[in-house]
Amino acid sequence: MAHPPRLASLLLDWLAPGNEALRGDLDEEFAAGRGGAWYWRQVIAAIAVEGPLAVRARAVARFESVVTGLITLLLLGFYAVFVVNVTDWLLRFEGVHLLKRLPDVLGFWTWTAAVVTLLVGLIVGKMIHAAHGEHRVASILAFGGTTMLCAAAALQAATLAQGGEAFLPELVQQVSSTAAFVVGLIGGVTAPVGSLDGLRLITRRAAPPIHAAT
Amino acid sequence: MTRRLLTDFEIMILLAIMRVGDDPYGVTIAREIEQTAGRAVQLPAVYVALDRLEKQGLVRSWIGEATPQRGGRAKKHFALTRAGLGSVQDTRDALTALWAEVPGLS
Repeated sequence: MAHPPRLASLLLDWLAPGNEALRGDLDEEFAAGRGGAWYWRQVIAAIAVEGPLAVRARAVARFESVVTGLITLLLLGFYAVFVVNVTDWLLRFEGVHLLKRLPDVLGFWTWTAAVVTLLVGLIVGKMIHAAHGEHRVASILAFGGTTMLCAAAALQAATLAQGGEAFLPELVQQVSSTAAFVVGLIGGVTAPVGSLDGLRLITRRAAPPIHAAT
Repeated sequence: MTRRLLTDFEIMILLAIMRVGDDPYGVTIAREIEQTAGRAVQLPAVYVALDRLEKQGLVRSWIGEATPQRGGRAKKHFALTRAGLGSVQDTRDALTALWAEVPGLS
């Protein structure tokens, strides 16, 4: 069985998704003998009638998803670096130098850690996107807040273990600036999405047929 | 009272739905317009108009069966509502009144 032009199908999925009935109609007509040129015309028409605002809304939503992943990665990286350094700092009281034990600090393990962090960030971002599609901002804030609280608690413990020589204020400043950055990013990225929600195509539930009155 | 009359494309779609009769969907509606009225139509435009008509309560839709030729995607069938039928009749009456006694046309 002949398949519709692949690039046209990809463009349709990318720029005018959501209308499965239309997509099925196009495939059915193509299978019935319509040519590739006809299919391309339909795809272009579908993209055109979707309207620039609808396309823009989806583009903003995708941008939001990317930023969500980047913020997640930033927070994970911040937390990972912080935990490793604090752990190393605490273990030095026991005479253990964690970081110095790592072979080739600037080589293999550094890149491996970066890749692992990236993969974890992508997975967590994907999970947030899938599980909290309508509450991504709240998810980011909850995740970021938890991370920062954990970091603050860990540093407080480190401060106490050090014998009272506090460096907590540095952390407060660091965490606050990170939080402000995250909140600012979220506010800037998500505002247009909310204002364009009404333009999104909504899949309707199947309804029983009601024929024309006679 | 001001009536909201249908556009030419909308009334073509509603009439095509009534003419097809047997569970019309995008393809059969577009074919009916092309074959009967001789107007080439784009399927996406048909769906946009159907979506607008459904929001206005003039048509209703329901999901039908999926076939291999459709890539496993279900059809979306349409039928006129009572309001849709009334709107068609209103538009026909208005157009008929406008056509009547036009100078130069018999």
